[in-house]
Amino acid sequence: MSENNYKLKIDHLKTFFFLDEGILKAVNDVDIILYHGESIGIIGESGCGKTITVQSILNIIQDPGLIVDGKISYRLNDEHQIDLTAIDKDGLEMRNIRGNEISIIFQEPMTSLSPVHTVGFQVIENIKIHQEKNKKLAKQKALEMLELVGFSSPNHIYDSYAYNLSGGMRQRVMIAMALSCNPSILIADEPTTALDVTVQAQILDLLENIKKKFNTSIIYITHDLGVIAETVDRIYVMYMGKVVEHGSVKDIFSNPLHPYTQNLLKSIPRIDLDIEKLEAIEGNVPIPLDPHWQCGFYNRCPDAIAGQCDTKMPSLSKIKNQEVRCFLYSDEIEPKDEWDTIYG
Amino acid sequence: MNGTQSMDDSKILQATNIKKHFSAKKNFFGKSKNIVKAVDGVSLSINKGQTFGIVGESGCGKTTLGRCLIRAIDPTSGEIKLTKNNGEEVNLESLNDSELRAYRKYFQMIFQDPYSSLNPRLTVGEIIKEALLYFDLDLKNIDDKVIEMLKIVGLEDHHFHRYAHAFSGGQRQRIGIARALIAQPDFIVCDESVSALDVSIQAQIINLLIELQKKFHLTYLFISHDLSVVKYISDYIAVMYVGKIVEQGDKKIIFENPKHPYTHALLSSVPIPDPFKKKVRTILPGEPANPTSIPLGCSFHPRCKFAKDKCKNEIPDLMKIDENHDVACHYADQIKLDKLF
Repeated sequence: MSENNYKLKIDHLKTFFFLDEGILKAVNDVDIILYHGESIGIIGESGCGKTITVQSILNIIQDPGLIVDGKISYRLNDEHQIDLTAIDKDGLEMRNIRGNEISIIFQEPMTSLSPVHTVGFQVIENIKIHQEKNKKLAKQKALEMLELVGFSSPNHIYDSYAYNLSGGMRQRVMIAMALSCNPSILIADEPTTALDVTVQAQILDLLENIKKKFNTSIIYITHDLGVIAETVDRIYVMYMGKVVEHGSVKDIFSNPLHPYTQNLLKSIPRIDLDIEKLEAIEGNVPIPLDPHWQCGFYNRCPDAIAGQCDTKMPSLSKIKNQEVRCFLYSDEIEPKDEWDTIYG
Repeated sequence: MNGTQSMDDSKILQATNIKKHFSAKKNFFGKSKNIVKAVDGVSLSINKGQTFGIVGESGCGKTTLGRCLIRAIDPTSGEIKLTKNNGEEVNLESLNDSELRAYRKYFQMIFQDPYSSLNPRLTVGEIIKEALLYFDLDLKNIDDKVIEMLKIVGLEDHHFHRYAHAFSGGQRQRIGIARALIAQPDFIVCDESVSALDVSIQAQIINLLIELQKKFHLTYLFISHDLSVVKYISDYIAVMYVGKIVEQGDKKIIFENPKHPYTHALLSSVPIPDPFKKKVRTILPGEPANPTSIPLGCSFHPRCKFAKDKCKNEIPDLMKIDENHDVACHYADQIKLDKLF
């Protein structure tokens, strides 16, 4: 696919949180590209910046967070593209994009639905704002969506409240809401983390069918490497607010390059294999609060080169079909920009 | 970690026909309208020094069972026999509260959520010490013991005076483990003990649990919904569905040759972190039965593609079909299940 055929392109995105303790560089120079009809995965442990990255796409970063640098280009159609960071975050244009063009399924189905409104009210809300002003037709559309996500009696669900539903059913409602305006990008932020494996299989199956049916591009965010292996085409591995590795799902799983990716894959128990001993990564997942100008994985890395990895920042370099940010493969150094020099 | 012991005298805990029924929604006269059969007739025996894994979907009763076994809650009926390391046998269900207290030090629990299971007003030292004070154990050099325990679980002595909020999730779970171990128990219930942790930290804690098991000859009851973790850590596995064990056996048997259609579907739902492997996936329709209105017959029959008339009327018993392998399915020997991995 050519570079210009993208649906969404994130360039040098920096989203920082200005705290009393210092600057939390949650997303620090991230480049992501998403093509039409493709699914990509962003993986990493908690605090690595995956959720903030997608919140930046929708421009829903809360105070004291701020997108300080970078560009997020969304291709509306063949001629038009919008930089989502440049438009007013509360303006009409952005509101038209949220829900209508780019939708999100949140992590916790238990808390993301309103307890005091019926399911129908919540599904119809989105449709009424973006597409169908006529209440009757909007309801019809909502019922269609509920049926699409696998409810056998959508009328009954329409009048239910969230507390009447189980976790899996709530997640289906969330998906119905997200899909109700036929978005071209669907963001699934840990869509199955809170669910049982049997329900998880149902939901993943559903998302797969939706992708085929509507040619929707999907961004999966998860820490579950099993889910990622089964659902996406390409993977971005994030650590300390930066992409440390990027490649096709097959390349990353068969030939992980970055020591973090390698060790992450070795540290998971496998249901399909007998593993003698898990190789844990020592230490804790660090928080990118005023991070040092060094490789973020330096302190936990078994292959770290002293004098090199702790004083310079490797840049994301192309190695065959993958991209990796590690001095083991390339000596390229990331240039410092004003944010790194002043607040580094 | 070897699952070969099966002599009767090596059992640490034997439970017979455990039931725990909760009554929900009382009517005006105080009579229960709905009875939730959270655990409905479970028998199991746990070998000393082994890890007994319990898996199942949420709401299947695995946590309730774990709590009943150590009488953190009282079972409605059933017998629990605990064999101490010196061979003495106790019937746990017959003890009253003060008698029970004396035995509490033989079994401990490691909880799921490291953020809410530690008292924020106590220092780490006080949290761990509490267990010792409660059991009237030898209180000489108590601080030294706590510090030694901190080192065993991978923390450092200067952590003694800190509060729990200063620690990360993995470190908190280590504190929880230290608290469980300080009374020198024989038997530990780990209820989703690694579920809330990040992948790389989860591996650290799993390795720590295994290391401690060897060091102190511990027996674990490991409850989790994560089948890959249970597979890695357990010797023997029981699969629960709506309050009953539907299949149990040695780890190898359960994962390589499951006989119950539910076990098979459950295992097949787990995504495999290998994009080159072809998956055999059985998608189970619907959700687990509501434990207030369990279907007649086999409780799994509404979701089972092999269900026949017999399944709708007769409850299958947990039958031995092989050495170390029990299945509760009328047609276990007839149905053909695809090879999974």
